[in-house]
Amino acid sequence: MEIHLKQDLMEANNRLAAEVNRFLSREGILTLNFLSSPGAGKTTLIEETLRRLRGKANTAVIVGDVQTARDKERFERAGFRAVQINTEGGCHLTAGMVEKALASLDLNGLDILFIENVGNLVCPAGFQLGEDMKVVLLSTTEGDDKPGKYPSAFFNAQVMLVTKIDLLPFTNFNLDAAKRDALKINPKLTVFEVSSLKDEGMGEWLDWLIKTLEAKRKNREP
Amino acid sequence: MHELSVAQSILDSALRHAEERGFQRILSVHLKIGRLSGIEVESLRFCFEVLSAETMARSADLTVDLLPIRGKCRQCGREFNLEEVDFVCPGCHNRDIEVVSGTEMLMDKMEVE
Repeated sequence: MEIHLKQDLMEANNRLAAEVNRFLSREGILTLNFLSSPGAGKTTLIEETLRRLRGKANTAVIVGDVQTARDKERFERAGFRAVQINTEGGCHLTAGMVEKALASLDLNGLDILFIENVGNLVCPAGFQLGEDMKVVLLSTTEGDDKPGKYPSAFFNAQVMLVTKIDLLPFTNFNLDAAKRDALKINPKLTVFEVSSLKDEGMGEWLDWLIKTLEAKRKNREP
Repeated sequence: MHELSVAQSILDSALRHAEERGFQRILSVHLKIGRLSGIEVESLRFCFEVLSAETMARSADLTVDLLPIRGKCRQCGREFNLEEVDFVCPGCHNRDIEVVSGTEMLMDKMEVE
């Protein structure tokens, strides 16, 4: 006998993600989900972004890692609100994990929530966490063919940050090819070229963040 | 890499449906997976085989319909399949393309006895 199901395997996660997003939006919080391969510089970029947002916006971080609370401790040492999620082997965060993490995060007066996903360019791309948008990082020390190899991540993101741009002269990374390929997959990508350690391109990225926060607040449900 | 957790949720759901209806054996589970979903079918099949070993789905066939990536031009309205992830309208060369399908992860139907 045949049983017809037509069941969406992502439905449970997507439903919860929509709830999380509604909750955060009511609080007027802009939520960004950061994706990249391991080592592209997510933690450093977020840390340097938070530092530069001091006095301009209240921020917090949810850090996803397979093991250890090292990144959370790093954020806290720098004086930021942070919660760690250990996925215990899981290769991506889920909306349920974020919902749980929110319970132990002080949301009072919060403007922007940064979610640092597990370093992995494949799995996190398919899972909504309740974010307003995904931000994908591609560093100049990786292959410039990553967008073509991992299209889902670039297809699902609204922003691409080319990181470690200061190292470009020392690598064979073809910046034009990487951007061209990424824009083929997603013509609406907003692209920034940054070096968080050498403070290159960070001004544009920060201006964009503030503008996006203001736009979100303006569209907020009354 | 998350094929393992996807396989687990397919198995859980299949077992629940079969048990609720009082069936003894799951013969097959049919999936529809979009090419943009990021799921690697061979790996999914392997995970399902391992996970189902001790269950009534142990000899079940996991069949997969791979759905093409289908786009619709927001300018001229043309619908077309994409062989590569290069979103450009073959008619008017516009790049403002809506993805109509290709991201699906559906459990379509199953056979039981």
